[in-house]
Amino acid sequence: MRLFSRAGLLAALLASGCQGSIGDPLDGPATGPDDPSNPLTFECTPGADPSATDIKRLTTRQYENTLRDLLAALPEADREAIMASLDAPLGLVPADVRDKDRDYVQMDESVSQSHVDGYYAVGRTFGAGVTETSARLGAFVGACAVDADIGNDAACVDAFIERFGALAMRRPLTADEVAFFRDEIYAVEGPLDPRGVVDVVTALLMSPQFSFHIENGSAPVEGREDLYQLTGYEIAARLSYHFWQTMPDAQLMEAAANGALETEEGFASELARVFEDPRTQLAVDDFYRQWLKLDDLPNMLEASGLPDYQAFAGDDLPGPDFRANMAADAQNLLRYYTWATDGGFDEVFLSNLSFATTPDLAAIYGVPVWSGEGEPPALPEGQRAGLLTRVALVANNKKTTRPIMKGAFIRKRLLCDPLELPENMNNMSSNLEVDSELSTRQRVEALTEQSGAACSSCHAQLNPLGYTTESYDGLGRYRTAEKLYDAQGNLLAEVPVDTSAVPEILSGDEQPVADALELSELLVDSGKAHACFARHYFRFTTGRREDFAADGCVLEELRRGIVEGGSLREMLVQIAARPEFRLRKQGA
Amino acid sequence: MTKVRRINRRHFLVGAGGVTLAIPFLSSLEEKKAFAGAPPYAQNPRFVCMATPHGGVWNQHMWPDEATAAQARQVYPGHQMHWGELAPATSGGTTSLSACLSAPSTSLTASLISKMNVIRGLDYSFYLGHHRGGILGDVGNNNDEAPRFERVPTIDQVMAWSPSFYPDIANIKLRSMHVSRGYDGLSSTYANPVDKTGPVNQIPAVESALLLFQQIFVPPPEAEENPRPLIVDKVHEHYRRLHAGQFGDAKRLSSKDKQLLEAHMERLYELDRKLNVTASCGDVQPPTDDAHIWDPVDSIQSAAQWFQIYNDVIVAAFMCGTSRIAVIGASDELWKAAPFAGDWHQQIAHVGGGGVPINDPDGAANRPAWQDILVGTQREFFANVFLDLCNKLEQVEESDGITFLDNSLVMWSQESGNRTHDNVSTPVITAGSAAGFFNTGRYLDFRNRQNTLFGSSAEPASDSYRPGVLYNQWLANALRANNVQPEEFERNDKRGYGEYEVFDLWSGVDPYQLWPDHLRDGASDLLPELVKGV
Repeated sequence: MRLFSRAGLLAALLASGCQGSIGDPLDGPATGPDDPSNPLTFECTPGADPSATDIKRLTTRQYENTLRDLLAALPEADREAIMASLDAPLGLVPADVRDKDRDYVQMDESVSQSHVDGYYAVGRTFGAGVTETSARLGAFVGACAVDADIGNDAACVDAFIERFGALAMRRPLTADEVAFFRDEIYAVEGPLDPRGVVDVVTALLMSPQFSFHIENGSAPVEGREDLYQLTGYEIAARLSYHFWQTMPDAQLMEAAANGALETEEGFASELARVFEDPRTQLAVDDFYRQWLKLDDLPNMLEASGLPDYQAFAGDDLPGPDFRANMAADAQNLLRYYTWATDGGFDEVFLSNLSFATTPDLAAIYGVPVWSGEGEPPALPEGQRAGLLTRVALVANNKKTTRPIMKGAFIRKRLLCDPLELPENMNNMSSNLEVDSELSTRQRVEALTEQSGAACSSCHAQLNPLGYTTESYDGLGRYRTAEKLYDAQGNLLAEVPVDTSAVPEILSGDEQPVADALELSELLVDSGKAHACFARHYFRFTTGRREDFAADGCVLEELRRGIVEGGSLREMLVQIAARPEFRLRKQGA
Repeated sequence: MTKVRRINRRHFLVGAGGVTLAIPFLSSLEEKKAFAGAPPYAQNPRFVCMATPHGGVWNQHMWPDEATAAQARQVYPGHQMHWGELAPATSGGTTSLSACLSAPSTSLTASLISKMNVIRGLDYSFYLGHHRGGILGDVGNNNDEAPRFERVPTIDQVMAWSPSFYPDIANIKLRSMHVSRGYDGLSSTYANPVDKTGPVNQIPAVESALLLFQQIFVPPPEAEENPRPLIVDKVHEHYRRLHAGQFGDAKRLSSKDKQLLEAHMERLYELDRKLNVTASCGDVQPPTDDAHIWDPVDSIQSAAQWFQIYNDVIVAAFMCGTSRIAVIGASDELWKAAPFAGDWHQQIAHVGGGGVPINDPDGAANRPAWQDILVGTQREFFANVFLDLCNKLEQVEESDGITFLDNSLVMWSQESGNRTHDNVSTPVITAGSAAGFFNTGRYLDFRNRQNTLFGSSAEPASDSYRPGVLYNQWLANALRANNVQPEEFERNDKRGYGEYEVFDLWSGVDPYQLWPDHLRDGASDLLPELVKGV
């Protein structure tokens, strides 16, 4: 099913992007900002500058992908052998950090000695790899490097520096630069010396122009000195690194060289091509995985050897692949509504289809295994709706659930509400005697929601959201009652679960929900998750936190696209269609 | 334990997993002058910090018998500290200073105990919660949603980039070594530590023990015909020309961009320096296995082997003279004796650690058992990592009667004190005298036992819950022990190291009465009975 023609979509996106005059909030149940720090709509000031773009380091994924692509001239076996040899030096390059301050690895701005040490080690190993044999040298540098004619070696080296330099720097080298790399780094007179090639390769791969996204732009916007259009090469790099997480391909470089990327038509054409490339789906997978923190899912084997957990899990005792399978299940849902159906954001939260492609997850859902193609099987009626009810979002590696943590995830990650550190943390204690045969919810209520307790104000923001998914146990199985086991695995009691709550998605909203299905509907109706999702995609794309004033137009266009039921595909591509994508505002 | 005599000029460390490091005695070390103590202590000590998360080891399990610290000494007006010689008990092949500080008698020897200190009464003067940076002074590296503290370099990095700690870096290949499994980000420094500019970032841990070894090891030089010069300086030159606009680029960089690139390029100088290190590691052989052969680390034994391989490399680096700082972080959960079906963080660390409500019947019933599990994890780390490294350093004599351990300060601390999230009496266990700077073999209790302001509702009085001196003062003492003086480490006209502004999070208790101003005023001062001659 395709709801739009690709060319038509891009034309429309580019047209709307160029207008830059979106300012009217959509009508809807949420009519105004819930909180100034977490608005439901974004204000677009026509003509406002985009926020400044800081230089970013290539992420480790981008860095490794680029290294692989730089080996394109070699046969596959040689490429793989060289990439394998890079495992050890790549180990020196630190993993990108994603933490409370950095939602996405693209936001990691840190530089360290390990980066530089690693880049050097990678450069040397890469250089050694491409010059290891005569065949590799010939393929990488050119046949002139290994033929019998030493008279052509000087020109051969120049041509290599120009060609490889352009790939590594993602732009043509100037004549001065070619001369620099030839005279100062290669520095060999006479027959071609592979050691000089190694040095050139190392120097280029150590250059900040390789390991950072450095943009100098072309013509300034009229009347401005700090706002300018990107060059065609810089546009090519933005497109490729955003959608492919790697360097531009030959066609993008050609479009940069011939100026096509600096025209509306040429840009639209390349944007469409880049977006339709299968590598884009991998990059979008990366966004979804980081958005839902799927890399942080718990080790589901943690308790599998214990009698109480075994009694709890029964036939569903997780195997070694369970963790990966539940991550894949959530990814499958998002992939399906992004690529297979041109689905929208709302469907992600309301879908009653199962995307489990493995028997363990299918058993949890009580449905047949989905082949990965065609129409997925429907979930049992009334049990689940969309993302919030998938195993990856409700399961943990315990025999009990964690309503507080589930609620915190929804509150912070899906609704973008900030959570402040409560005061008096050291003095939080409860004096309530509670019964031993209580549900998890009752226990959490008793411990965190006593009237006047210091912890209750914060937990009031978290717990109700988490309670709604208490109809799924620690393995994500649907339930109407919670089974309580002792340490030996004996069933102590079965207590009913209560999934009703007042989730207060919008501040002060007292509308109750009966369960996660109603919560999902309320969440979709609120518009708050849409605005939050727009902010997250913005962060992934730009590698920085949004500035509501400067980035309002981009955010609002993204949000409107989501709220209006536009497809996820449309939303994913429209950020690149915005004029801001081809501009750079210089910071102070 | 038989020490390796320098006359042998060669020492084999038999490490984990059959790894053998053949380490020669370095004759250059013979020439070092004494620093704090009488000759022949090394002029410049080495510093190792180990850290484990949570803490939450109850007072009665963490500390030696209070009677051990029977001697009193005024440390501040109205504030006496207590101290005494460590008095181990041995039973059934186990030697104990406390329930937590217990190990096989073959590891926790009388000799080693005489070189240890157990330090109590070091407080963060504010609620800190979960953190990584506090142990080495960067309390801003914590789990706060909204930042409360300025990020600052950790003290290991103050040392690493200090000419006082490294007056001669010609042989230093790695200013500091960073090892972590489950407790990352203990160390932080500026993006540009030379100029002390740019954001303060966590320092990543090394990915493998073999990689760490390669970073500290100087292989014998290979003869090469017409060797080519290193090109690192050329990379810098290319950047310089870019920056100057010679190649038509880089003319539109913001100050932040320039700072980032300068920080990156500054590191090239350090790389160039390291590539030119010509120190010899003699017969040191690389480990035959990497620590990852013990993956998955799912038992105390595999965790011990994993860390002990890194300990071997750290000792090798010290003996090669190519690094003098190491930081090791280890999850407490690695050291559990058996799988745990419940919620480790909530139940073991918080209920077992006693930092959250305990009225949950399950929690109340299980709290002692969960505390035992928690104590067990910290004890196993102590026995298998801390003591392992200390004993390896103690095995090698650096000069007459002085071992590598003597010339080092090895410290182990935990994220919290008596209760998880507790900022009072964060444990510090040390070994080595920092080249004669510290007295050793002591239980040093800096709590002001007369200050009873903590309410009994917060903790039973029997837990002797009393405020001590600021943890900042300990950090200052660690720095001073390593030749870094207050004029070099004090910041913003504050004494001590790091942040100690009091944030009033202790309902009903005036934090300025718990930690009066004189503690802040004296936060760079040497701690009595810890530092020799003070």
